[in-house]
Amino acid sequence: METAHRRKRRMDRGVWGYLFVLPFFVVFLIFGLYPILYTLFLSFYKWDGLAPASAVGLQNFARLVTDKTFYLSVFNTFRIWVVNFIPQMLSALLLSAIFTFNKIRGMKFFRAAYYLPNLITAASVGLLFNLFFNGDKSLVNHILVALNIPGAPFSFFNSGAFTSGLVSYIQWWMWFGYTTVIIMAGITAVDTAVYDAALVDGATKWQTYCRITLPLIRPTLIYMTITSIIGGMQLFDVPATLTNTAGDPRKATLTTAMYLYNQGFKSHNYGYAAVISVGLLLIIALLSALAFMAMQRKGGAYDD
Amino acid sequence: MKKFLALLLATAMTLSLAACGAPSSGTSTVSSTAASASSATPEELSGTIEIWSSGEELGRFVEGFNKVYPNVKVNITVVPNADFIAKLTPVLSSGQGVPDIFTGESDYVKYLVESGYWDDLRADPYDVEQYTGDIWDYVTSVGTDTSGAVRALSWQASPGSVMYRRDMAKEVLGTDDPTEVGAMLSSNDAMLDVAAKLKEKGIKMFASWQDIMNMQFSNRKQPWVVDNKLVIDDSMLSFMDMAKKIAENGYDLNVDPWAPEWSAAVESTDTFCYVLPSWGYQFVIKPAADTTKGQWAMCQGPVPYVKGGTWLGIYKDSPNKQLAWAFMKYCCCDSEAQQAYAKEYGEYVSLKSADKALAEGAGEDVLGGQNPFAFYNEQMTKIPSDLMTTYDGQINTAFLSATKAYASGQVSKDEAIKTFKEDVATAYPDLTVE
Repeated sequence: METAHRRKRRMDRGVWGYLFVLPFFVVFLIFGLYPILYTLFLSFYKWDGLAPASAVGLQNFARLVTDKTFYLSVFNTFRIWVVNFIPQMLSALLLSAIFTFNKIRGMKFFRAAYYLPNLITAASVGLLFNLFFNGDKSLVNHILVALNIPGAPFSFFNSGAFTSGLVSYIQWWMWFGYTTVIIMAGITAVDTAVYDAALVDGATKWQTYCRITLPLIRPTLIYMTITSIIGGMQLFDVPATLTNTAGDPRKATLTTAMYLYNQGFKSHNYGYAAVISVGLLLIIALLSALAFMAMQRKGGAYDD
Repeated sequence: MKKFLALLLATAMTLSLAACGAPSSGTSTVSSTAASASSATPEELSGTIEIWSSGEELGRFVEGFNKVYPNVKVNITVVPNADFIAKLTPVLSSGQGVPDIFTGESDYVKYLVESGYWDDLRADPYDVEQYTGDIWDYVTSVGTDTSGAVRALSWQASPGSVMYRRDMAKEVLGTDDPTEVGAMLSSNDAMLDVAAKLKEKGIKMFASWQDIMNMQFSNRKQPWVVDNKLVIDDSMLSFMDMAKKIAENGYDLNVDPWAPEWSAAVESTDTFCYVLPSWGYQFVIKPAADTTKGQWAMCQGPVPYVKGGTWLGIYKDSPNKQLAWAFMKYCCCDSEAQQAYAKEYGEYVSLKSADKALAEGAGEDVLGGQNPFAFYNEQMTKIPSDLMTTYDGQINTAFLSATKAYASGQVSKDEAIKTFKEDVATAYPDLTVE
């Protein structure tokens, strides 16, 4: 039987808790939730930013559903993400296997060095690679001409496949270190007793890795995949600075976010830009759900 | 005591988070004499004006301006052209932190003029019509909206030219005289002949074929949009053919304009000319010319043209209109100020009287003694009228992209035009595109 005094103290402690989490929620409500709701609201209007907005109901949505360029941009973004993600995952799994199961000298240095590209601003990376490849007198062309390679100088940015591949490469370069670090963290969480048992049963290193480690870090892999999809489908900064928001050549690197940016800030169609972001939200949600379902096994012996 | 301290800390945290979320206030403090008589002596005017400019040129007027108006402080923020509209629009629509003066580049100046956010300069206390007689016509007409209100002016006029290297001209063409070289560039085909001659000596004629678009753009018979319909002028179609020939035959450096290699080609040994308007001289050639001083000259290409330029206007709800007008008047309507500016920077200015006076002066070192003002004065008598629309920015981008695809041999001409039309329809769904 609690005295009134103890009940009051329990309540006071509760109040403190709410007070301390309040700043986050206030900031989130103002800078997170409100803009999202406003964008949804804006997608039902036609607005050029300066003149007053006019309500157009579902017209923007109707335009989005039949918009070839929107589907092209989604396909481009997805392609860039896939070509980036598969090598990223494979190299991260390989590196984390090597680092966890072998004693490599300077492992900490390598891990930090691989992580470093992630810290560079994506915009400057885009500009850097533009200087490497753009035009006959770019850096790479200078080198190729000096080496007397036949066919140099090449017009690298005339090839859609090359430019798209370059964006994927840049993304891989910037993120594989981060993925390695996360997967290594997941691997160290596995109980070493399992490995001892496997060793006793005569499993090779490769079998240990594939049959034991990988399934046990499934939650980490799911986390990596879904965050990668969400980030990758919103890709904007690298292709925008690489091609100066044009998405050249012939829209090979026009990502959905770039299309949204051009519609909003260049063509002054803020209502339509809002609709594109709603469409993108639905597509990302769908892809994430699909990825999650694909990676889950039924019978949750591995679920947390 | 502990509880009180904890409560204090929590409140301080919450308040500090709320503070850093507050929007920053931009507009300056006002101490102008706008309410009093419309003419105050230059020394009496005092205060601060905020200016957003997409280029650095406006900043060059501040020193001279402060000699006449010592108590007016001018704060210029340079916002890069690529982000200018994106940054300006939210500020204008919210009304928070709007600068007193903001500029508009030629690609979107019509859009800003029609939007009405620049004040009508014909009204009091501006009375701009007393000055417009001395301003080159097209400068005023671009700054005028469809109702006839003059909303923006410029300090510069941008007639076009071909800026070429004298040493290469002498070597390959036998002469470096502007009139004679100009005669050799009298048509598109003539230009290609010259390009072929230069190629034999290992010289690329153009820095980029995209430079020529300036010329063709100005020589359309119709603007991009007539009665809400997209119109593709023949001049643009022949530009596509020129671009293809130049790219195929390797007559240019195969770089984009404004890329570092393009700017650096001023000093190169293998680039013959830039096809740029007058601002190209003081922005590209003059600053970079070092060993090539005296080796440049200007001549006319196949057609005279006018392209580009930056206009500025006064925000309609500015609290500092008097001060802002003082600055604008100084840059755009004051002949002495423009002459001093042009003498130092070599830019062609917007006042006829200033340009006439400058044409009497000495020539430029970089141009081997040629006087650019005399040259441009003559060009101004021949230029076509402006055909700018509010849609130009995106349409030009789409057209350049389509031409690039065609010139590099990736698609056929018909496919390129089809893609261009689709892009315009996507960018501006209200236009009729067939």
